[in-house]
Amino acid sequence: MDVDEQAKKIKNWAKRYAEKKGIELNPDEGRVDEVAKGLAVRQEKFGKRYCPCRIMTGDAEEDRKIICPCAYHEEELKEHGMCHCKLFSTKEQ
Amino acid sequence: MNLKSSIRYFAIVAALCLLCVGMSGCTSISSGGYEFKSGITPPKAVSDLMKNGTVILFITQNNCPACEQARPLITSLQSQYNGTNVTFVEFNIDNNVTSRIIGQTYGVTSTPTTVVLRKDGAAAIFVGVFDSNTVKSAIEDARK
Repeated sequence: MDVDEQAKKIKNWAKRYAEKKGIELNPDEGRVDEVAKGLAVRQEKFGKRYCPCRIMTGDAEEDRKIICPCAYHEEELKEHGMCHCKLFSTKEQ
Repeated sequence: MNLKSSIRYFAIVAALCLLCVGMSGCTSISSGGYEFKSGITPPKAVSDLMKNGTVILFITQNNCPACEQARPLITSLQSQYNGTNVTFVEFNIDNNVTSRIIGQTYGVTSTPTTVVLRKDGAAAIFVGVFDSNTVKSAIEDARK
């Protein structure tokens, strides 16, 4: 599967995840596409959807925390209304 | 509690406080919501740049949308300081070992991370898409 196709799949997954969690995707669709592509590139390269704005350590246990949806996104949504990668946002955004 | 045990108690508390300060590095907190943390030894690539004045590190990686979102902000700041002794340098940690070492030195776990360096090496670190006015205040503080 090429990266663009993978990115589309990831975007659809992210939509479903957001609906399930009562949050939203970033209203800036261009930004969502960029993040989805970043995730797709990492999935292609490393086998998992590692957040494209976080640094992989090489430690599998540690890096598991940054597989999208990452371990930090809920706290970031509460604090800033968006996750660090700007993929998910709260409904108030 | 007698005098001897009081002295011992305060000595232990003071030692613990000093230990905490030592472990966290010294910080000076500004009213602008950022802090300059000292005790970080800049890698050679950075200390060489610091000879010319204030240095701003823009640490990025490939396929990082937030880095692209912050790029126009850093470009705008850079143009505002054009012709001054403020140097802006981007280090993409995917590109080379030097950039990766710089990222590790400043404890970068996500990108973009923007580091404003004072002449003494103290660093104000901004994670994510930053507020331009806050970073500008830090740059002005660093230039004093």
